[in-house]
Amino acid sequence: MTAWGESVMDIDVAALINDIGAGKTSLVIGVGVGLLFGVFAQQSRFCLRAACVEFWRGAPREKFSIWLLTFGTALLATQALVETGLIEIGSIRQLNNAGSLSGAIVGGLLFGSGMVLARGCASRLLILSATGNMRALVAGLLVTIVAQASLRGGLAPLREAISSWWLVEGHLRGLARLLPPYGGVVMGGAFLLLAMVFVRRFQVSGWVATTAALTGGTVSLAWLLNSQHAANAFDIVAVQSVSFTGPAADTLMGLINSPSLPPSFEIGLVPGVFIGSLLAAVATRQFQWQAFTESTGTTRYLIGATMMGFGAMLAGGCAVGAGISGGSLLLGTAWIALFCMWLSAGATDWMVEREGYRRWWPERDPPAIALGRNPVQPERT
Amino acid sequence: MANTMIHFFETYDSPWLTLWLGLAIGLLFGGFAQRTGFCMRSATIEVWRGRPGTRFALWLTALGAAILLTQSSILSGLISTADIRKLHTSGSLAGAIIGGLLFGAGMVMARGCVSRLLVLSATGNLRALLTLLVVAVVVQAALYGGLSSLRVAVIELTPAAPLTNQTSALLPTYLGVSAGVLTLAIALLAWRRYGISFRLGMAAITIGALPALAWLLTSLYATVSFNMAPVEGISLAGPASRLFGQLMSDTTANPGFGGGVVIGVWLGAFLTACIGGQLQWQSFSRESGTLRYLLGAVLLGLGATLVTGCSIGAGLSDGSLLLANAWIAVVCMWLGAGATDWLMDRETTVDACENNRINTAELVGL
Repeated sequence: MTAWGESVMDIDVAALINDIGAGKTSLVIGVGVGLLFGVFAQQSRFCLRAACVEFWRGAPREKFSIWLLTFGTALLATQALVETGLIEIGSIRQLNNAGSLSGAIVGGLLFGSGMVLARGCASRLLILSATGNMRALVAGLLVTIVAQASLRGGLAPLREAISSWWLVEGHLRGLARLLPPYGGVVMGGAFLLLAMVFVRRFQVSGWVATTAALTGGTVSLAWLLNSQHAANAFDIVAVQSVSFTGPAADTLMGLINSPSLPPSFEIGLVPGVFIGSLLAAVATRQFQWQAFTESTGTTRYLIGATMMGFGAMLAGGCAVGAGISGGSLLLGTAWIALFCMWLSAGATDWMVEREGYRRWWPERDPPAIALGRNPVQPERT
Repeated sequence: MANTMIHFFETYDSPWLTLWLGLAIGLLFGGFAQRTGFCMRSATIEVWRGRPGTRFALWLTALGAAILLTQSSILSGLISTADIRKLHTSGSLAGAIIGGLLFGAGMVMARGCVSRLLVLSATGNLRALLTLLVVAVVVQAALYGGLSSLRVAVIELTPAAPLTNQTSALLPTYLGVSAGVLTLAIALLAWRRYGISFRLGMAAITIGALPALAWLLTSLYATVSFNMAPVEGISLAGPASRLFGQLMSDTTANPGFGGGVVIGVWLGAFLTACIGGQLQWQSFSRESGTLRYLLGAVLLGLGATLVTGCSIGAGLSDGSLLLANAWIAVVCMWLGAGATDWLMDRETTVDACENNRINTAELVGL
């Protein structure tokens, strides 16, 4: 840690932790980060699914620019903080424990497919459900239940089997070792620059662009706060960032298994995002009840949610947990998972929403899951 | 007959035997309930709209059969009431009343009580499947989680009254059997009136006989087995949510009799729907609404935990024991269902979901 970092951070953080205890500090960080993420992601309509769909239909536009901006900001900020030593990568579990490449590939493919079917990744479902979208609420609940079953329940043996096909050592998971010094920062800068070009070209509004960048910034902030907390706490604190399926499963199990929840980052994060998104939606009059109808379909949401719940547990995170949080750390398995999400989202979109089905089975009607074909931008305006 | 069963239990005694028993009873229950369209919600709606018909007659038949068979088994000593836990613990009057009202409202909103949802979900009804999932989450939360303090607060509104659970001890000896005979007699009149065929009527009697059979078999098993086995009727809300909890965290645990019943009901309904060509993929639509199902599921879950039973668990099973709390709960389920139907669905037909008219409760139905 640099001298600057010590002088600025140690006083505040150490005092705070000693006053209120490690668990509660984590909870406060979780709620704070969650609120910020909820507000920014709701306002920017940050969405990996929509970005993928735009990209694969050959017309990257606003959604793609927003995603790129978020990713670029998170990468640049996180890498800069890692270089200054404020984020200590030695204490981050994903960069030091063994991971599974087969899990990242299979899980990423499943997740990408699932998010197209359910019309939103795990984080998007949480944010949409806070704006009155009951389809997202139901699908999100199912993602959470399946994730928990994959973590500890009936699907755990299958998950473990797939994970064990191709394991990779912890010290090999960081991509930073392949890059020259400051390579991560340069990469982040390049992504951000590219995103800026897109933002200008597709005339993304200033507010949306700002909140998109802040969404990415919140991810880096979470790494920073949790890393500083871990460095200053007496107890062992897991260094983590914004992620959804795991924390949602923990929150659900906490809610149904014990009368009171032990405070932690995860328990604060999920309600925080929900409340943040709700507040932002109400303040900007975007709250609107939305339900299942014949044209939206129901089955596709349930299949998609199941695929996402299992896929995220396999891939070590959802589109944000692996895609943005893990990606911004240059975590190799996360990049592979993200890449697989992009691929299978494109393939699924082509099969279900576009000409793919007709081309393969010209004589048959599309199945129930293809009901409710939607344009690139399905959400309300 | 009883001796044969006792011999069978002694020979094959194992912790997993109750699971198989539950599975067998559940299979029968699910099959018959699916084929007859057995549904307490429809029965209540028929009555409240002043047009009692088939569904009501079937429900009354099952109730009469359950009471008659359970009470005569108790009288002949085949079911030993000493082993039935509910008869020796105190129940909560407030739990039965408030829980019953909530459950009744919930089953109208979700268009089916827990057993009906279980049967429907096995025939391809996604609305029922999702509603059940929410019911299971709410029941778990109300039993062990964030809602447990609310449940306890409601239960403690009235002082614990041990007598409310021991009605049968206070009643004259043959009253239970007579009540069963009387109910069944009225039901038989209803068969004639509403044109229920002998086959359909016998199917309803079988449905009513199954809770009695459950009491009987688990009671016999408890007397001979070395394994701790509670004496149980057919109950669905609690065991279904326990099974759900196990699927999420611990798949090695034995689901027991109750879990077996739930799996059996689902499989039984699935099989008969398969054979009868009644499998049909059904999902939410603009007419069906979404929010009403979610809210209904929450009410069903809360209600079932407060009552400690669903329309089958409290209604048929505990009701056939003449448990005062169960009867109060069932009456309240009827009241809650009637009031909710009047508030929300006045202008739709009983089979609201098959109907394409838009609900009056557009606001809630969405």
